[in-house]
Amino acid sequence: MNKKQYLDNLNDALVAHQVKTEEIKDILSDYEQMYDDALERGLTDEDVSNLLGKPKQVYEELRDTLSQKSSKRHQDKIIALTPFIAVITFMLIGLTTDIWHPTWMVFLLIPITAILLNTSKKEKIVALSPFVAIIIFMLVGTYTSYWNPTWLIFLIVPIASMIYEKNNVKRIFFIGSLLIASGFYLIMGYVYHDFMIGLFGFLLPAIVILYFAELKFEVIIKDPLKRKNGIIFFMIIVLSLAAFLSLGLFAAGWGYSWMFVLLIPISSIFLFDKSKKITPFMPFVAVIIFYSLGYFFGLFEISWIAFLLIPIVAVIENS
Amino acid sequence: MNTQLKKGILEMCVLYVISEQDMYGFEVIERLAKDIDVNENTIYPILRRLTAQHLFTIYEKQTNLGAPRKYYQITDAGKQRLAENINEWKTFLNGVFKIVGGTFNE
Repeated sequence: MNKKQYLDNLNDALVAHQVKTEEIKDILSDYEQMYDDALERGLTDEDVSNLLGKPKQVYEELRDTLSQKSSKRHQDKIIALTPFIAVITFMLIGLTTDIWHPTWMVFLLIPITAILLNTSKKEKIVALSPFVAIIIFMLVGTYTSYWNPTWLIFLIVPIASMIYEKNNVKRIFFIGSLLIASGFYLIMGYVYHDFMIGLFGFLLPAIVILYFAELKFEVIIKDPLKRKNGIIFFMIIVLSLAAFLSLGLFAAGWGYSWMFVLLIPISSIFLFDKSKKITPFMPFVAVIIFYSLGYFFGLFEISWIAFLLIPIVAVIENS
Repeated sequence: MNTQLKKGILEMCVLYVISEQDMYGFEVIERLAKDIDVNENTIYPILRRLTAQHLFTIYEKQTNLGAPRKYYQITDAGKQRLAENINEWKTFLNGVFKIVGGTFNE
């Protein structure tokens, strides 16, 4: 990370938390000065960022000295209201129409609102993609029974995470190979009536991922923890997709097997996000608890309470 | 070490070095890093916090090269806080030494 990247990241972290513009300017100019002073003493970029702190940690440390834009406080209120709005909407529609499924998806408003109002532009798209995918998948699946090939919508999650990739070659190959594999899958399925063979198309993005992982191997090999996490993550992706597709294709279990796909964002948060908090996991955990109880035991009327875990955990952990 | 305790001690150290002489941000970090492990990058937030509490004032001084530098200077309130902190700290350390053995080196 060089000086410009460091200051950009710091700026992003402060902007994401809606810090007042003049304070951001002040802090950035102070950090720029300290950065210059440190470089002048002959420190490397890495030394400097260790000494001054990673931008996200800097924000955490500065937190109690900062004042937020008044709109931020307003936004926090909106986020706090979403659980109530979701419960009321859910109960009203459920009781009057008896359509508990897919009405339950109003609970996804809780994490979606929090993400929309609380994250920076770059994070927003990636963080929203699993929820958008679930909503589209469930709606299309429920009303048209085309669970297959609608499951392909989950591919927007890896694609979203690649949109801001700086390396053009990597980005094009990643997204391109996923699109080609999807196309191949659809053609094999609809023209040749063999979705199974179509699945082999996904070997292409797998090879692309492995190839680019190879390039990073030298960095990763020096850091055993990263290597271990990388391998675990890759295996979780392969296993959860295998579970999802085989239950769907062979046991017609599309209605529940999609929950395996949630293991991917869950494990990525667990393995790569430094903050060891439970809050980021809660939307996924809540969806799984809620949906499992509802789908397997017919308890949709009660199991929605699981969604209240999202705001409760957030309040307990962040107070 | 308990981070809350460490933060308090670091605050006292920052107050102390600036009470000896006006300093700019990086100078404070350098001065403290010489004797204690400050890789937890808490110095600038401390400077900012103490300035917000009016324990420091800020002025700018022209340098030979480029932009003017921001210097921190201790205020009367800052001196008072420092004296209180040192007092508390000594009483605390004396107590600790009575329990675990050792002496104050003054």
